[in-house]
Amino acid sequence: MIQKKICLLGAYAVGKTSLVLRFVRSVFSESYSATVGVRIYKKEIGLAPWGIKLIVWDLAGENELVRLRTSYLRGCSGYILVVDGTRPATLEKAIDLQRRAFQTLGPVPFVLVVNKNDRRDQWSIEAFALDDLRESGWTCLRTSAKTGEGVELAFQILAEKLIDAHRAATAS
Amino acid sequence: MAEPTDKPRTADQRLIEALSPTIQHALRRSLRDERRAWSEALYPIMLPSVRMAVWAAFHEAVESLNRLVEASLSWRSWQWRLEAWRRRKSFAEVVLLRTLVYRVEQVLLIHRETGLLLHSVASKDAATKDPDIISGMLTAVQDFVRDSFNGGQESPLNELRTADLTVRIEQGPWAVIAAVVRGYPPAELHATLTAAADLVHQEMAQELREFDGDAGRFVRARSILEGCLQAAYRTPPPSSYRKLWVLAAAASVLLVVGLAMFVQQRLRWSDLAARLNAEPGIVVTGHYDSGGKHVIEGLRDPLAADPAQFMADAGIDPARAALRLRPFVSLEPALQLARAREALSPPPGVALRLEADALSVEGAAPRAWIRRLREANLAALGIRALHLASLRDLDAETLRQAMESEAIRFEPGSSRLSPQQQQRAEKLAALLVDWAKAARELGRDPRVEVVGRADRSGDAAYNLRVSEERARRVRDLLAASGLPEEIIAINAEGDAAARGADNGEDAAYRTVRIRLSGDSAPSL
Repeated sequence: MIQKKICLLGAYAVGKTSLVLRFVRSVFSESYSATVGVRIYKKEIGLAPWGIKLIVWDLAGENELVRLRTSYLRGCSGYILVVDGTRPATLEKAIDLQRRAFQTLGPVPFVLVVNKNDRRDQWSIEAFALDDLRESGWTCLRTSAKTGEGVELAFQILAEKLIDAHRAATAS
Repeated sequence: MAEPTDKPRTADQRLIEALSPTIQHALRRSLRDERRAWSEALYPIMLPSVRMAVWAAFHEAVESLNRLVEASLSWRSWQWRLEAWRRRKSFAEVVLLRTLVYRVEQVLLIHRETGLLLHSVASKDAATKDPDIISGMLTAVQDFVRDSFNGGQESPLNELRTADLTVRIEQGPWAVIAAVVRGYPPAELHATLTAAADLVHQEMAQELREFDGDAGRFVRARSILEGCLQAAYRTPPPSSYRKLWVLAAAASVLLVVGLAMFVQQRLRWSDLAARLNAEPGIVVTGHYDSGGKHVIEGLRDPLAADPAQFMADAGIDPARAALRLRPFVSLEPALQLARAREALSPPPGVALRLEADALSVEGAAPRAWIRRLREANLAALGIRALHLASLRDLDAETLRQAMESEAIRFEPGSSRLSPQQQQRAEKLAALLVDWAKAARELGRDPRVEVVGRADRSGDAAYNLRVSEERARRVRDLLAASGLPEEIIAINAEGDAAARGADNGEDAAYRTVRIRLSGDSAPSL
């Protein structure tokens, strides 16, 4: 079974830690506690020998005081950009983070998720806001760490992309 | 030419004298400049003797530890007993704490770029943490230190320390070796780790450069890492002054204990007999003094509590008692349960209960043990019924999770299985057959739901049909592989999941997945 390092990137309090806890342990907590630095989780997807072991680096979200440490991105094979559907500024932040991740890592696979789909009534990001991104080839999904909706799928899609990239690299 | 026999020898000596400085110089230089080549050449010769020496040292340390524990009357051991009592720790723990100099509990080989674990080893019975997570965290901490204190300069973090754990980190160009050490690591450990890091880089240079996430190629590093699992124990220096203390302490303790025993003995004998009689599996028929000893007569089931323990608890010297307890088989439930426990040796996490000759097994156990349990001759243990309703199959739970996360994929609009997906489905089928068999053996009612999905590229009716065809295709394959047809149900979800999603054309929606149920214990 191959293993790959992936990162979760996004503004503060968009639900990065909630997503990874939902994915790895199937739990959700309403309380918010900011991640300091980085926490690391692992989860295996699928059966050997086709499966993949994901080592997930849950990085501290960016705010006015904390900047992303790009050294944490080193050796990362893919990443998930997390946006809070109720805060449009977090989408801009995700686009900015993608640009910086691209500078560090080059064209590695990534997925953008718009989280907090359980609070659709409070959403202020419209569907068309993502259309431009989709047209330029981004994969965008809606997720809810609270209900679990789309979470497994988002990680699974990224895992498939990583396996494809791995096959392409070993074939060449 | 006068002494032809001497001449060549003298010439040889001259030659040696002439060449010596040059050869020495060349050797010195070669040693300095080509350390790798030298260490590569010397490694196979040196390592076995190094291992022998380490083994001998370790063996000796363990021996002396044993001696220490056995010599329970030494002055030091009384100090430790006092300390154990004061700190509410076990005596063995205190001995280990006081005699352990250091022990390498875990050695990790970490890929430097990604922080992914390449290989790890751990010393026996050490409580270690998940090496994958440690690798990641160590790498993150190093990144943090580099960023925060060195302005991006390459300055490796060599050591992390907590109250009783030290992590020593040895940096190589491609990989890092980290050793988790309990106690105080000696300076020599640094050299051992450096040598190990060098060796890994020499022997696996290509694998390290080409690492793409497949850690399977680094199994070869095991023997190198195991060479780093070193330990040392300290023994107290013997001194005649101490020996005097030991003797004095022993004499006074014996005197006090003896005096107290003499006074209380009489009362204790009858109390002991009564307590033994109350114990399941022990029957005391009489007790009397005979030949300077106190004789206790009766019957005892071999699985009943040890009478010596009762004497120890009552403060009675076992040497003064003569136990004449004949063996018999007791039918008391506690003994029956003990007999069952001995015969079945349940794994940790499994509890046995006995009620009216019926054995209830609760908890979670590996499948192999459950099979053994079902084949055991329970009637011979006096057990007439076996209740497994609260027993969970550990292997099935792990397997179930893996199987449910598997997805068989299809080309757009197609329900045909590509050769690779066919292979994938066949492997899944083989696992499902096993899972269902194991669940049925436990008297459960396993069910497999085959869920077909389509992306949203067609219209709803078409997508529903495609998803159903996909599910049927996989159902037929499962049935053909030996999974009983009556436990399989198919569920065509069409494009329901894809329709609401943003990326509804994605390959992830053209799948067949399985949902499993009915294998767990019924909840009460």
